[in-house]
Amino acid sequence: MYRLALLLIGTCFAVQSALASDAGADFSLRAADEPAPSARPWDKGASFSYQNTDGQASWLTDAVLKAAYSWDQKFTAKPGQPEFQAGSIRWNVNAGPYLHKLTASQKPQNDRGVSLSLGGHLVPGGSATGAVTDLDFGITVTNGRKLTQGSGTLSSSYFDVGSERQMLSVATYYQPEDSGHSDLVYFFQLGAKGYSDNAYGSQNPQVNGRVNGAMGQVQFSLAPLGLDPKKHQLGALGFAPMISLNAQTQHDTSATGGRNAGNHRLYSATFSFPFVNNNDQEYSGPVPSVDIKRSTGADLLEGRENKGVTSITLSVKY
Amino acid sequence: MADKTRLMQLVYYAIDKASPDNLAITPGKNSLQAISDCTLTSLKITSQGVADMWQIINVFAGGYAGGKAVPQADQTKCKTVGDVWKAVCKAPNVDPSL
Repeated sequence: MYRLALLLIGTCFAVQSALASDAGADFSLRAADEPAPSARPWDKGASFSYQNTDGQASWLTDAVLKAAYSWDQKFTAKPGQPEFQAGSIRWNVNAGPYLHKLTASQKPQNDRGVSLSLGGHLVPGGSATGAVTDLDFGITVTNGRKLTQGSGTLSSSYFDVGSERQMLSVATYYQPEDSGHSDLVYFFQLGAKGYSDNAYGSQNPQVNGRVNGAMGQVQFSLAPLGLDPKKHQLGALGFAPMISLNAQTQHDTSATGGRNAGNHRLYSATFSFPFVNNNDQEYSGPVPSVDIKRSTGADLLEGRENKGVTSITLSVKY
Repeated sequence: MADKTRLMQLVYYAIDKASPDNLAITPGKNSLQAISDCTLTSLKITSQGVADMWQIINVFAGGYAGGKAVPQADQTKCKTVGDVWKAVCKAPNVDPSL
């Protein structure tokens, strides 16, 4: 089934007040959305969107308020090596409430609670020649409530259950060494997660229980014309399209209570065509962008059941 | 003066580290002055690479010329290598001339 999601209202807000100390640590308080407890919440702002699926309207709210603290750790350089070639880790601690709510839908969502995460971003040291790599790792703990669809004779009903989840994650970025002969840019992102998800306190025992498992993910991204929008003009606007292919597999290793262990896969392809205003002083008109995404499969950590979705997002900046 | 040279080396290293091009061994691109007019995107530095570049600069800039971390608001304004260098010089009040 094709779904056309038209974003009528998209607001992003980020209130960030960073106080940098000599030690490199900073504290910030920001409002941002959290598409799911497993996602990195500082990537996007809060959003409110309207969807119309087969004539039925629904509102989606994603919001999270995070208190964040971060600090830097440098490694010791090898003898004879400049200090700045030693490598470093940027540590982050985030904590705060989240809300992920879809109203007036046949498949409502109402995830709310608090999350706490500790993560690090490692930039390795050594020579600057060769590929670009880094490593992200972290642990996230969430506790709250969510709507869960029943199973068996109650499969059409939704139950408000207690929810808690612990998750370990690691991801690496890899951009191969470039020959410099063309504008083409491509890179890979590989990730793995281990999770333990518990649902409890429902009047329907079929939705209560704990599921443990692991997930692997690979993403390939390609900018066929390069990253520089100044090189390709359409009127006053430049553009640099990007194609991303993503595949992930999720394997539940054990399940208790009324929940069942399963295997789930999710594939997606995204084509992004953003325009950029290259002449800030001379052009003051709208700057459009288009994103087309096709995905198929399931990701139960994100609350997505097995389905295929095609979405087209049109946005305009003024 | 020595501190400024080391600060330039740090910034050049951070940019070279974030770019898949081997800048240091590429004629015409093997110094901060030579690439100062280049945009970060023309050096094939992705948004992830930009984050890595700023982490290297902000973690180690404190050791040179009284340097300090560049605030996020200033980071997002940097489109070219020259912009990055000026932003780094702004904090420790280093002469930004190359």
